[in-house]
Amino acid sequence: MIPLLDIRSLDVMAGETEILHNINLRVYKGECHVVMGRNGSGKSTLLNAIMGAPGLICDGKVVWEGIDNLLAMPVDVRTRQGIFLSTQAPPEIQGISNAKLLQGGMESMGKPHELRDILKGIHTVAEELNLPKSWALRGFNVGASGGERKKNELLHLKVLDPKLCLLDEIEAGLDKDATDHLVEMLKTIQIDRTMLMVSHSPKVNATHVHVMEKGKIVKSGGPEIAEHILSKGYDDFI
Amino acid sequence: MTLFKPQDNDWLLINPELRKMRPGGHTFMEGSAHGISTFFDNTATEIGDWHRGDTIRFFAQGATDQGYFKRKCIVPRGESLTCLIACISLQQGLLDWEFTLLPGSSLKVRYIANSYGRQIHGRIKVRHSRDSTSDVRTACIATGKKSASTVMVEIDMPAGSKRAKSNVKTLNFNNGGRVGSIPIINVSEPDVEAAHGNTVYSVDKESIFMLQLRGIPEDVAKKRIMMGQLLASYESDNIIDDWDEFNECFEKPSWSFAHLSKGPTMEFGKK
Repeated sequence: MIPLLDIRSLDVMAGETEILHNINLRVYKGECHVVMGRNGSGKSTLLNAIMGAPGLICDGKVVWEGIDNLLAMPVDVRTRQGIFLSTQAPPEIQGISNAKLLQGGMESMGKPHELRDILKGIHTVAEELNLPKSWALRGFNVGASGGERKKNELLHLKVLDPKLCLLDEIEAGLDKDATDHLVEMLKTIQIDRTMLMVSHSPKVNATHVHVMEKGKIVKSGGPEIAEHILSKGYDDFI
Repeated sequence: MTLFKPQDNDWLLINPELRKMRPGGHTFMEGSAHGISTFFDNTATEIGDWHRGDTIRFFAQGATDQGYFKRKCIVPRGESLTCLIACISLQQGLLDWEFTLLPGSSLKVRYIANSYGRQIHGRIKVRHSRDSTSDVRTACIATGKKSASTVMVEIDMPAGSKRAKSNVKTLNFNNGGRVGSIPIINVSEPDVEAAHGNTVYSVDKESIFMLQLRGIPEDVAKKRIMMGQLLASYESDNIIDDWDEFNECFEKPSWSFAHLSKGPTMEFGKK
């Protein structure tokens, strides 16, 4: 079986500093991988490197569906392959509404939709996420709180319907009710999608858990690792 | 140069030369006398009649040599005028607009010039009289090396222009070239209000990355971010629909304004 995402000997530099060293990771369709680690261990950089964030210099291979090397593609082309990255701190962009942004995204993915259809889709998901109806026409994250930004990422994820979801601490900054709701949503999303997520306290049904330290994966295994970390911390793995 | 007197049904007065323009022909207007060799060797449609309440939409796209546009508009007493000016990719473009506001009239000017590796220079002059108001907002965008987009906004408030109000807001987007806005406010009457604000934007990598994460290519993302900033600046206007059209224009690799059929419109660039 060909992995959906196959990371081979990935090294990542930011300027003169090496952030990630020799990362190897395979993600198969339907799996849910959770990356854990202390602050500054390189978890977010791993997701950003997969998507080609500016300022990162990558060496190695990230093979998508057994054929293409993602590292050779522009960011938007990677997205169009069916990969969605939810960043830890999505920015605010004035003058571009969620609806227009999603319409542009769908269009570039070869799935053009009328604006009214996009609006309908957004309204449905926004209601599930307890976001106001006006959300669709609001500027992207303009005036939004940290929690609302995370919800917005989830909204975009559901509308764009990607094959692989890269989620960087999607639950961070949410209140208890919102977190519970988000977990339920993630579990639904997880059913027919593949996930690679960074989390400090994973509440989804992880099939694989990886521990990172100083830019390396130091331990990989099943969900028992997450349970161990949540009760005893990282000391046993580092 | 002489200004044209208002007539009964024409609230906006344009140089009669404009009415002589025909599709397929060279268009010579006031600017042709300024020694510029070619004036838009493009198709131009005849300008229609102007009616009270219309908005002027002026789009210029350069395909050949230098272009010089000069317009003079008089806004009659108590009337209001909105003027949208967009200029894209002229080889070397000069846009020169002069507005004379008669007592009690008001004017809104929205100007965008995106140079795309070339040079566009604009001049907007507004001459006030008593109780007149003007709101001029400009956006200069320089996309690519060696490109330049500048504008000079001249506001004249002569003696006798009592209670006149003027607000000038300039935006500059540097996307690899040179941008600049020069406000000149001449005030000879003590009882007036005049304000000017200037903002410089840069298209940050983080925002571009964000749009790319939604599948939008880098060049389109840049344009959307710039236009998004403009929309945010002009949101309080009731001319958003027009800006949506502008937005489309900025995203197309080769522009055609044929679809901009609302109201009297001049079209350039059609082959």
